[in-house]
Order: sequence, then structure tokens, then C-alpha cells
Amino acid sequence: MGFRLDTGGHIDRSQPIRIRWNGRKLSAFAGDTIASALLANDVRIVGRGIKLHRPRGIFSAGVEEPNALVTLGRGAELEPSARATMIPVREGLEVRAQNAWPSIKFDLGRVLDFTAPLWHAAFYHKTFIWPSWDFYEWFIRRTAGIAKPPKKRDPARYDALSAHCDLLVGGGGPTGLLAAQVASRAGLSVILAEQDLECGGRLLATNLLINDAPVAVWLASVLGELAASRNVTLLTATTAFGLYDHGCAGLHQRLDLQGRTPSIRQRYWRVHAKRTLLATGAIEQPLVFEQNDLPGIMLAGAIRQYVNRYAVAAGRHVVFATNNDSAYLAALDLVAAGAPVQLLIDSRAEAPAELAGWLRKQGVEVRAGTAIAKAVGRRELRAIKLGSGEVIACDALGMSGGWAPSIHLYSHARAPIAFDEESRSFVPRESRPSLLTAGSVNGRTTLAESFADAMRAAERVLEQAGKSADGLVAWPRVEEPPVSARTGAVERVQGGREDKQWLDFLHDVKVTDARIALAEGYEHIEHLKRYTTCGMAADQGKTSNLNALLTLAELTNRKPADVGITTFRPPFTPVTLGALAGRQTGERYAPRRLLPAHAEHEALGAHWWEAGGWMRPACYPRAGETVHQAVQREAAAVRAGVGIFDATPLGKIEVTGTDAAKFLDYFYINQVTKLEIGRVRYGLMLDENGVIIDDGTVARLGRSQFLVTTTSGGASRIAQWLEEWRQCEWPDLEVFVTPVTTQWATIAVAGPRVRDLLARFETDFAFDRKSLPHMSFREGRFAGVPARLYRVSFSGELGFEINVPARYGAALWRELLSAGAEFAVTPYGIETVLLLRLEKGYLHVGVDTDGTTAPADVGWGAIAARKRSDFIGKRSLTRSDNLRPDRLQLVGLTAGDANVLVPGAHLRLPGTSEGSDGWVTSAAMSPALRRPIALALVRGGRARLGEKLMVHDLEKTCEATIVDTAFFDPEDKRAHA
Amino acid sequence: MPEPIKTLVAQSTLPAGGRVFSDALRVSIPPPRVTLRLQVGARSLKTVDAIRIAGRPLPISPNSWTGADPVISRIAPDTWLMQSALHDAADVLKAVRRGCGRRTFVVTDLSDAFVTLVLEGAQSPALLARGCGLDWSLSAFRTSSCARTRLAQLPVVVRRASFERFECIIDRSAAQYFYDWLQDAAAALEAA
Repeated sequence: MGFRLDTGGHIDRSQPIRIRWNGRKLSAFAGDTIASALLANDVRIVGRGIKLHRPRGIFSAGVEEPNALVTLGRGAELEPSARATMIPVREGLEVRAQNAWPSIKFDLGRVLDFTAPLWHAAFYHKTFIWPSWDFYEWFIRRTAGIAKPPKKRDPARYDALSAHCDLLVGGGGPTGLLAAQVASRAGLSVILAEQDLECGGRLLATNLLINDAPVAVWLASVLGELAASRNVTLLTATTAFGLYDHGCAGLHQRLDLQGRTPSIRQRYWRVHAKRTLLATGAIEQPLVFEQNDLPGIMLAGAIRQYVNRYAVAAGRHVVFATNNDSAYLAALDLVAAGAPVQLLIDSRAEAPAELAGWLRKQGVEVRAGTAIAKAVGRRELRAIKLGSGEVIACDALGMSGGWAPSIHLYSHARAPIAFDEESRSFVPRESRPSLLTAGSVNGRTTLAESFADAMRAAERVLEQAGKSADGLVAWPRVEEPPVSARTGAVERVQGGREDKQWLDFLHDVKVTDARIALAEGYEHIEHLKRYTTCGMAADQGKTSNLNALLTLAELTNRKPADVGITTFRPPFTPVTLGALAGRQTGERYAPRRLLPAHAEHEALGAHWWEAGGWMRPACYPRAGETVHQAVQREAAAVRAGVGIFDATPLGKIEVTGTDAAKFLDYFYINQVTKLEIGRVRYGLMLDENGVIIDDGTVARLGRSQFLVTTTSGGASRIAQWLEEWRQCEWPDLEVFVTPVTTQWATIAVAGPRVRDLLARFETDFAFDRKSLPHMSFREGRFAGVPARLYRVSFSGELGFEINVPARYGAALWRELLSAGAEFAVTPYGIETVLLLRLEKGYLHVGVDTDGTTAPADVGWGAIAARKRSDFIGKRSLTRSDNLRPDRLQLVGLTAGDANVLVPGAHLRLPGTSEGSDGWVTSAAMSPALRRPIALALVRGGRARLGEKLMVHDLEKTCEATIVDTAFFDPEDKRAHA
Repeated sequence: MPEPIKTLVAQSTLPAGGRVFSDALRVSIPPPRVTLRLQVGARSLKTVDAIRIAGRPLPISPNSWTGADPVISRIAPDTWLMQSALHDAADVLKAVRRGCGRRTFVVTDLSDAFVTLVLEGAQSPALLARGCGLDWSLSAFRTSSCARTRLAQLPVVVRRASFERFECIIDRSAAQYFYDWLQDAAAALEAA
């Protein structure tokens, strides 16, 4: 029976607050957390176990909470699985229990508890085999998980930033604060991150004296100084959730918990620290006994926190069970606050004389050498049963199984740990120059020891920075009880039901599950973890890892140090995806690049496509036209008259230098060195495995100057590819690689009437066939500005590409449209280009190829074989796999049904119902041929021309014929016109 | 005959005057500048300290810049970026060719490929920290510093022109995205 004390705590009783718990109004005060408010209102059952749906109560007062996971808010602002121990109350806050139906008090899921022997560890690996997993999947998906995510888009805004500092302090307890104070006074830049809403750590739950004054005085003084210091960034409600290489740490700041409604909900800090000091404290561990999961059973330190910080007593008949000294302090504080404590049992043979004496003076019975065997109660704690069989009635039990240093972040850095026999826990084995630890994380139990640790760490940090800590801060004097680190071995009372002894509360893992894992041969702690899922829940095993390893040690007669502990990995606490994404969402998810003539395309009613990071017109639908109709019209217009297309994103790279030709020869499967000045050659580029990675042209501008074009999406990647080989493999070659893609605006002009259009412009280019044959390049002037002119064709029509400096791109587009009005010049988009290309059977790398396609698969095998000099990927072309006759090869397909012949449709031999002979890579209705056409990768396809295949697209099928890839103008007469 | 397009230069879609977010943060967009990229061959790098462009040596410390006009920034071990607001590209090209002499080099006019956006004010470093992992404090990124880095997911050259003035040289095609990003990041700053 939890209740609010009349006095004490750090809450503000002048600010009453009402929250709603499952629709019921509860009273609280400013400064309360949801958990303290629930306890104060005597709410006992706050959650249900994930698997067996047993009732669960508040267990801790901090980040380690495995039971009190609740859902906050509604609609788009719903937040599932929030830890009630970490969320401050605010007026009107709506809190709901989760993982229970129809209510938290009466949950039908509890039937699983009554059939618990069926649901032991890894039962699902052996249970859902017959008739098939699919049979059970619907039901399992309905029951799995502990909360429901919001269904609406999160309206909140998030922020992300990078920060640099000399010292990052993880933890704002007394140790971290003192070290930060020393470092800041020495002039170092300091970032201090505290996961709680307030700094102070354990001081917030104690009534000690520092420098002869209450701890609050010292705290206020240090915090005031740090907050005023320009070189200190003090972050509360901020968890250091991961520590990575090179001193990089991830911090998760919950601005939404800090008392006001911020326009930024959460913030993700990427901190680059020269040195990191972990003052992350320690986490109290539970004891293992029968029914140790009943509501009313809490960590002893949590009871102390609730009474000292929130003025809430956990019960009216409280008992403590411990194997270390700390529970004595909790019992003393509870008694001092006016709440009755009946009994403290200590499993160690001898109780600490002084602490036990103080308790006895307060009328509390202390029994040493006694362990708890069982908690009694069905829905909540009613009594405890000792190993001797004695039953003691109580409504709250504070247990302490020792303190596990919070070494998670330390372990993220792969720093070594060691088992400490005295505290029976793992502690950091050494400090590194850039990674130090201090305080409870080192196993220190008293404040004085922690302060000494903080001073030592700060001195070391300053020494590394070439500074001295002498005289910077006076050593705080502390008066505190004589607490030792001596922790008794966890000795479970034998003979009890091990299937009711919980190791992991959040994932419902019990001692029997550990036994089953052992019976299956999983003796390693990492195997035990994965077999039972112990420590794999959202709490990351903060209160289960240590007990799991100690139990494993007990069951296998090994020393805990020999069992070891599992690897800790980020994040230390759950981080919302919103925070990780920061502002990189929606339109800012990735950069969008605009064409120089973007506004002109917009004015023409462009239907936009995002391709290779560029916003490109797919086509220009007219009023009442669909995209398909627009593409068909534009393609037909190009074949019949003249069209213009904005090809600016086409990758352009200048390769210059006396060795430029030799250099480029390494990249293309055809010869570049023999290319004449002013001519252009199309080529394929391979990676080391002989796989096609890009295609494009090489134009020779001069003896040692080339202009390489790439696919639009490959512009940046291929420039880096060339640069990497230049720098790493051939640094002796005299060659320069210069990307110039966006320096030039490129307008492609194509169609049988293209010369009529271009003749209207003032230019020094000649466009006739003799002066400018197909695959040629010229530099000169066009319409009064410098220009580079290609005669190439990616549509199969007579075509030119005009390149002008990008500032003139929009004007050139407008002038071409204007001058071409009498020829009904048609602007066409990228989707139309793909259709025109498809009619010609031109390769579209990345669409008609996959991560295995080699030149021979697309009909370029002979060209590659003819080239004698070396090129990247050449050797791989002779590997046995590249010579297999049944490789996927590019072929054409024709079929009668355009609805089935679609990209992604699979191909099979007629009469077969399994496997795949390949798939369609590109497909469209050809306006020139008036029938559906496609390109496809087909097994051994080039030797199967004329063969029939069945096309399968979902439930639809049709017959198709394998044909050559060139559907239209196979002799290429139009492009050479 | 269509009108020569030189007289029909497209206007930038960005606001002409930039934007003032607060006393501590403003973004401005200066007129287009001549921008040249100079790459020096491996063998010629040994004598690069003797090169003079318009009478000034090339900056040879990594990530540093010198000069008033042209401003010369070292953006890679063998690469310098030159920007001029006062001279034609042809004049700067001539000066570079004269300065490099018989060394192996290539100089490319990229004036149309880049746009410069200027951040000014005390909050500029905090704004940059929203999109880039570099340390923008004065002790780490001095007034003689520049960096080719990644900002707002874009390749960018940032030059610290003065204590509270940063010039961001970005690809022309991404200018609108970058400007929008700056506005959004500035809003996050205001919220902080």
C-alpha cells in the first residue's frame, strides 16, 4: 500500500498536478515522475509480463525499469513503452497500461501463465512446425510485442547536431559533477550529460552532509557554477546511449521532458570528445527467489529514492532482503521518514554491526544468514516465506542483490572488464588515456571514495591536456555511514519452483529457461542470452545480465569470472528513430538537385521524377492527358519531327594529361587510345569482377584531353571511381580528373527535323552529315555563347547534344522551344527517353543489368575479347562463372498482353510452375511498333531467339517470344542520317 | 534568328538579398563569382610553394586559404579553388597559367558549377554544426581555414572568411535545397 508522506521529498507541493491513469484521475505534484505518482496513489499493477502476462508493479526508480512501461498520449503523439520511472508528470498527462486486455487488472492473457510449462525458452522453435508456420503466424503477430506504435505521422520536430569538447562527462552524479567542475575551472570545454531530469545522482536520494551542509547546498553551488560557465554544456534528460570509435558518443536529449512544450521534441547529439569520463554509476540488482516478480517487490534503492526524493512510501508493512550494506540505508531512511519497516534479512552470515545496530535501535528486526525463499500472493505481494519456512506478512519488499557498475558505455569502447569478487560484479579493468571511469562504475560504494576517484580522473585529464588541478577545487568533506562493498554470494534457497524464479522480468526469462538452455548445450553466456533472450529486451538486461551469469555459474559449477558477461552494445536506452533522423526527413531526407531550367519545365507542366538525386521531368502531360498518353505522344513526336530534352544531369568528367588516353583505356572495355580528336566512342565500364557498373561516351577534345560522360545517377560515383584508381593504383600517371557535370547545361535535340531547328541559330557549328558525322564532338559557339556539341543519339533518331555554361541553360531551353514552334518542337522527359531507348534496345545500366551482368551478357563479349591491352575487370571475364552458357543474358521480348509484360515479371518455360528462367527488366507499349515490347534477362537467352516463354506477373500470365534487342530501326539508319 | 541567349541569363531562384534570421544569424547570396579549380601534377607539387598567382603564393597548409581577390583555398593535397568577384575568368585563367609556368597542371573554369552562400553572425557555427561534424570553434577552424567537407549531406567547401563569416561554396544544382536546409536548421536554432 504505497502512500504519500506528509513532509519531505523534492516535490513542489504548491503545484498539484492531475494525470489520468487508464482514464482514472490521479493526483500528483510537480517534481513527481509517473512512477512516483502511481505509487503515491497506491496503484500496484502497472504492467503485464510480455509472455505470461503476469501482473507487474513498479520495480525501480530509474532507467533500469523493466515493468512500468506505459503508453503516453494518443493519436499522432502517442508514445509507447515509455518508462514511467523517467517521465515527469505534467497537467493532463494521459498514461495507459499496455499489453493487457481487457484491462490491466483483469488480463485474459494471464491464461498463458497458467499454462506456463508450454511456453518455456525457445518454445517457438519447436512448436509451430506442423502444419506450417503460416498457420500460426496471424495469431502470433497479434499477441507478440508489448505495445502498439502510433498509426499517424509524428508531427513533432527533431534536431541533430555535432559538438566537440575537451571532456565529455557521462553522468551528472556527484562524481561527474566534481570532475566537470575541476575540468571547467582549468579551462577545458566540457559537455556533461545526465539522463535524469536533475543532476545529482544518488545525492537526490540521500540525506548526507557535504562540507557540513545538506547535499542540496553543495549540489546547488556546483550546478550554478557549471551552468554559468561558458565552457560547459550541461545537459539534463540526456542519455549518453553509445560510445564509438575516436571518442565519438551519441547523446539523446529529451527536451519534451523538461517542463515546457518545446518546438523541438528531442535532439540527437554527436559528440566528438578528446577525452571521455564515465561516471555512470551502478545499477542495483534483484534477488532471485520464487515469485520475485510480484507487484510490491522493488529494488531497495528504489524505495529509498521514492521516500527521499518524492516523499512516497512503498508500503505500510515493508520488509527488506539483501546481500549487501546498501539496503540498510534504505531501511534507515524509510524509518526516518516515518514509514514502518518490520524486518531486514541479510543473506550474509554476518550483518554489518554498526548499520544493523542503528536499525535495531529504530525497532527494526535484523536477521543475518537468512534468505528469502518465496514471495506469497497471486496478484500482488502479501507475505514472504523465509528459507526456514517462516511466513511474514508484508505489502512491500525492498530487495538488493548487490550493485552492478554501469559499464555499458565502457564496454561499447571494447575496453576490458574484470570480475570483482568483493562486490561480485564486473568493473572496468583499466582506464585508457581517452576513456576514464570514476565513482560507482569503478565499484566505489561511498561518496568519499567516489569524490576521490573524480579528483584522480580530473587530474589525469588535466595532466594530458598539459594543465594542473592543484588548488582548483577544495576536496568536499563528506559525513556518511560506514558502507562497504562486501556483497554476499547469491544463494538461491533450494527446493523452490525454479519456473517461478525470474531472471529477466521484461522478457519473462526464469531459472528453468537457463536450465533448458544448458540441457540443449548452450553453456556459453552469449549462447544462453540468445537461446533464452535474457538481456535482449528494451532494458538491455540492466537488471538481468548479472543474475543470469551468476545463475549460469551456479548451475555449471563455474566461477562467475569464468562465465563472463555478454557484450554490451548501443543503445544504452531506447532512442527514437525521430531523434536519430533529426531534420533529415520528408523533403530534407536527401538533397534534391534542380536543373538550370527547372522553372521552365515547371511552367510547361512537367510531371516530376526524382532520378539520381535530380528532379527531372518524366514527361509533360497536356490537359486531360495521362502520364502514359503523354509519353506515347512525346515519343511519337520525336520519331516524326523534333523534340528537346534536358539532359543536364548526364555525368561529365574531364580527363586531362599526357597519360589521359592510357588511363581511360584501363576503364573501358573498348579502345580509347586510338580515338581520333573530335570523335566520340560509346563504352562500358566494369568493376574488378567484370560486372558492368556504368556506360557512357568518351569524346576526345585534344591529344591529351577527354570528356567522359556517365549515367546521370553514376556521375559522382564514377568520378570518385576514376579518382580512387588514379590516386591509389596509378599515381605515376600524369592525369587529372575533373567533374564538370553542373558546369554545363545539356539540351538534347532529336528527330528527323532537328537540322531545320538548329539552322535557325547563329553558330559556328556545321550540322551536316559530312562535317559532323554520327559520334562526333565539336567546341564552338551556339546562339552567342560558348558551347560543346555532341552528335550522339540515345533515342535512335538523328540527334545532337548542346552543352552551354549552366547559367544559359534556361535561356537555351526557351530559345529552342521558341525557334522550334513552327516545327511543333516537342519537349520530352526522361520517361520518354527510356521508351525511345527501349525501342532501340539500348542498354540501361542498373535497370537492364544487375550485380552480375558482364559484357558478354549484353552482347559485348566479342568487343571485350578483342581488346588486347589490360582493363579493369578483364581477368574476371575469363572466370568459369562468366563463361557459363546459362548465364542471364539480355534479350528482347514481344508479347500480346501489355498488362503482363511489365518490369519485374518472371519468365518460365511453358508448362512449368516452379523456378524462374529470368525476368523482364524494361517494358512498354511501343508507339512506333504499336505492340508491347520488353527487354529481359533470360538464362542463356542469346542462344534462345525465337523460343516461347510464359510471362508471370502476380496472378496473370501470357506468352512471349524471345527476339533480338533492337526492335526499331535495327540498321541504325535514322541516327546516321 | 533567335535572340543570343547571353542576354537571357536565367535568374537564380534564391531570394536576392538572402535572409536575416536574427541579430546573430543571417544568410546572404553574393553575385556569381568566377570560380576556377587548379590541379597540380604530382611531380610539380614539389615546387608548388614557388607558384605565384597575381603575385601571391598558393596556400600550402592543408585546409587553408589566402588572398583577397582572387581568394585561393587549398581543398585537397593537389587542388586549389580560386574565386574572384572582381575579375573575368579569362584574366584569372591567364594569371594562373602564367603563375604555374611549365609545371604540370590543369585549370578548369567551374564558375557555372558553383554558388556561394554566406553565413554571418555569432550563431553561424551552431548552424553549421547541424549539418556537419567538423569543429567550427575558432580554435579549431581559424579565420585562415577552409575545408572541403559534407554539409547538409552535400559536398561543400566552407571558408571562414572572418570570425563570424562563413562562405559555403556548393554545387549550383543543390543551391535551393541547401538554402531550404539552412532555413530549417535556423528554425531549430531559434527553438534552442
